[in-house]
Amino acid sequence: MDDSTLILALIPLFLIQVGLQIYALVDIYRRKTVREPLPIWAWVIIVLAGSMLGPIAYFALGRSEDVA
Amino acid sequence: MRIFGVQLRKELRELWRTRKLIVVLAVLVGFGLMSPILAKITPDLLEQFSEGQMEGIVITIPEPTERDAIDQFLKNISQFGLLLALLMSFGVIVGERERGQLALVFPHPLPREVFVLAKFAALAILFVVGMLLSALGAYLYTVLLFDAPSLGGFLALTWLMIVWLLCLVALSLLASALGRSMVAAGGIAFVLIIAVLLASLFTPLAPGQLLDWGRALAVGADAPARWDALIVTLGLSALAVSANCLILRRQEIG
Amino acid sequence: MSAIIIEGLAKRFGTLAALAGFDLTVPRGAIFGFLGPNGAGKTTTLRIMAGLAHATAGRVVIEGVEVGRGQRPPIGYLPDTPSFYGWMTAREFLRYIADLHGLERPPIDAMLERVGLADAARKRIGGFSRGMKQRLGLAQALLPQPRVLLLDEPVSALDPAGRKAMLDIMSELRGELTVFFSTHILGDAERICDEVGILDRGRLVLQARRDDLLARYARPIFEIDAAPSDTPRLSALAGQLRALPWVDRVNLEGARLRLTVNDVDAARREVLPMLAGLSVSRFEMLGATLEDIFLGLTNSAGVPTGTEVAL
Repeated sequence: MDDSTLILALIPLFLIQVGLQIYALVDIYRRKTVREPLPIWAWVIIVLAGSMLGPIAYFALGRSEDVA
Repeated sequence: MRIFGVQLRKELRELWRTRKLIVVLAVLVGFGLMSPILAKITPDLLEQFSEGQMEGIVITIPEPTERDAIDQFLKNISQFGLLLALLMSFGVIVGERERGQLALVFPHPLPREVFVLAKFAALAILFVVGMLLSALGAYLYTVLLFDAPSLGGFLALTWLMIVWLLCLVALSLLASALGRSMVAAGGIAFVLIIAVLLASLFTPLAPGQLLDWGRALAVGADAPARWDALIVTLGLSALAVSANCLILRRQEIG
Repeated sequence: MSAIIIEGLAKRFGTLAALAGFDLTVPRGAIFGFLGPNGAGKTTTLRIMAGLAHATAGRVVIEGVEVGRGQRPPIGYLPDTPSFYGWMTAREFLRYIADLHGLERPPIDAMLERVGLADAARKRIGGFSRGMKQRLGLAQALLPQPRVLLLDEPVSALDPAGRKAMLDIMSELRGELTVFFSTHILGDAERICDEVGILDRGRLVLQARRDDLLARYARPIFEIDAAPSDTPRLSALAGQLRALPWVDRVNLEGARLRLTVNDVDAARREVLPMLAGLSVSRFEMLGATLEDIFLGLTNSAGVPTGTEVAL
């Protein structure tokens, strides 16, 4: 076990985290609207700052199209 | 039973279409992978930190083992798994009521208890699958970075964590039926979960004891089996779901 | 047999009596307009009928099934602003409703066609306009072939085109099932209803067949339009008319004379000859509108509340 194994091991984790954030941001960008009462910029900050929990919070509470 | 099937399919499709399924699975797997890595690099981080801060003082940090990886996994799930259970559950019933979706579907032959049971079942499936994948990731990385822990003990820990998480889901879902608004439901769910966590301080029967028991099984430590806590946890979950059915049945919609 | 029987229906919210205990019977096959100003208790009544709210007292029987007693009456219900699962398509939503009812071969495409959503069948409801959602709402209520259709303000929030489309679909249902719909817009009720009930402050102030109602409350009004150059002669005529015993009121606005009479036959006989020598561009007898009746009943002391007007 050396450092290079560790770095290799970190890659999937990094991909999941950044992947989720990008996924959430793209979703926000495509809909251009989020659910009340928070504004879009607040969700962008939550997604960026909340590491993995930011996207979760967005998809659970902030995504707009679940209602019609 | 037929209607339950229809409703469960609707709930699962909703989790899929609204991206919640994929995101929850990804996050749980992420925490699974992260835990052994954190256990591995924590001593290095501590060392660097202490070198800069306190010159001349030698701190010996023991080489981390698979035990530390298991502890990290347990800690991450008990914190972030808890948050996830709360976030995914507290809004689902109050949300559909607030938005008026319930007023549209309840006049159709959809018994309200079936509605509640299907919601719980869908969340249970989500968390069982997510936790199994998460545990798989944690186990593989632990084997990669340390020595292999006992598979049986690790599986036991995983299932006890699942039972514990589902109890929190059941309580948040109850809050979702009780709350008049999204915010109120979140508040009630928070209070219920805090109460359950605090109960661990006072009684060995509290759901939180399952985590200690699971840890002991996973690391091969000597600790008493907590079948009583398991029964209490399952009973509390069943109670929360039943109460939910009764509450929603009497509730006025719209 | 009656499609809907309401007996002594009362509903309190704390100290507020939303429904004061009223009776109402709707004959089978009727298109029934449930009229009343905002806040009269129309939505509360419909929610109780749909099983979403519980009555404080009284009962509702729909097609022989009492609401809230375990068995589900054969109803279709459309709330005033239906909200759907935005992630579903229109077809998926109807499929879901059909599955809840256990329908073997639900006529989903025919239903979408009927409400004019055939083109949007595969689109997500999340992108639907207000009018499209209203029509999809009608489709989900009709799909399980209910005997009684309950519609809460089905056209109020729509633009004129959407309103017309919705009303057309509703009048096509005549004879197929009983339609019970609430509205505060009288023109809509007047266009398609067979029968109306008027609710005011939780009490039923009137129930009648629409035609009887219009005939009974008819206060015929005559309108005469003259060429603008003839305005002086029109005002002289107005003076003449005011003196006549069968004339209630005379209104002159520019070159238009509005005449309210209490004896239609006398007016028919005598007005026309008086117009000789005048360059008349229009002479018309207007009937009373539901609006006149409605305002008279719900606003003023004209009719004591709580008494049903027998016709």
